[in-house]
Amino acid sequence: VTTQTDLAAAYGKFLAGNAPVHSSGQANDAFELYTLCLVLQAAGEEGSRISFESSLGVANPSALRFRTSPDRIFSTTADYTHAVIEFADELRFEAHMGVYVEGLAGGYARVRRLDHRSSRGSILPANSSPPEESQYGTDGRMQVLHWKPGDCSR
Amino acid sequence: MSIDSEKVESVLSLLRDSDSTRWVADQVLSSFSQGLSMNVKDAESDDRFNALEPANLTTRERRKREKYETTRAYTEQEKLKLLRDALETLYVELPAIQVASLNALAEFGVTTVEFVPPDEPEQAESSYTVNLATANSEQQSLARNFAAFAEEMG
Repeated sequence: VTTQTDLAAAYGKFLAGNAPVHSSGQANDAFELYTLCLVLQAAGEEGSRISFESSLGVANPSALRFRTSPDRIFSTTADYTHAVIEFADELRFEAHMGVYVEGLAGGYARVRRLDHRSSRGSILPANSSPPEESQYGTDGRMQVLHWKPGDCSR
Repeated sequence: MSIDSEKVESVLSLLRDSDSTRWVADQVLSSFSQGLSMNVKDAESDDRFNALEPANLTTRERRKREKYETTRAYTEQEKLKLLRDALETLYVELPAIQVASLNALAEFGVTTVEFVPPDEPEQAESSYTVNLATANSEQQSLARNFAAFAEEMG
C-alpha cells in the first residue's frame, strides 16, 4: 500500500522540478504551435510552397518568434513570425498565431483568407468582399479586423 | 478519508507547492467542482446518477429529461483518475506534441521557436524558447518518470 510519504517521495524523485511547461499559457502555446504545424502540413499536401516571414519582412528567420498571448496582427516590437503559404494559382495565405480577431457581434470568427495583393494583408471570411482602404493602417497593413455580423462562421 | 482521497489531496498539495505546477492543481480542482456531466439517457445506466434522480417522475417526464445533460460529483476514484490523466497530459502528451511540432518545423530548417510576450505584456508572462534537441532528449525521460510515478499513484 502506497503511503502519503511514499507518494511524496516518488513525486520528488520523478516529477518535481521537471514540468515541461510552467504555466497554462505555455501549455496553450504548445497546442497552438501544434495546430499551426497541422495547417502547414495540410497546405503542403495540397501543393503549396511554405516559408516564414517576420513582421519586418525578414524571410525565413533562424528562430521563429510567436506571441505568448493575443496581440494585434502587425507589430514590430518583437518582430513576430508568421508562415506564408503560396499556391501555384497565386493564392497567398498567411498563418498567424496569437492574433486578435474582433467581431462586431461579439461572436467568434474564423480567420479564413489572406488577400494576395502585394504585401497588403487582409484577413477576411472566405465569403466576404475585399476590405475598404480605410481598414488599412498607414503602413498598408491591416491593424484591427472588423467584419459584419453574419459574415463569419459560428 | 479513503486512500484514493488521501492520494488526491497529497498530489494536489505537491502540485500547489511549485509555481510551475500550481496551475495544474487549479485546473484539476476546477474540474472537480464542475462535476461529471453526462447525457441523461447515458446516465440511466449509472447508479450514481440514478441516486440523484427524483423518484416519482412519470414516464413522460423521464423521456423529456433525456434531452438534457446531467451532472454529478466525481467519486474519489474518478478524481484520482482525472488527476492521473492531467499529469499524463502534462508529462507525456504535451512533450510529445512539442516534439511533433518541432520535427515538422525542422523540415523547413527551423529548430528553435521563441515565445515572446506581446506589446502589452500580461501579468506573469515571460519569454522562453523551445528547441528540438532539448525537447527530444527530455520527452522520453519525462514519459519514463511519469510511468514510474503513476505506478506509485495507483
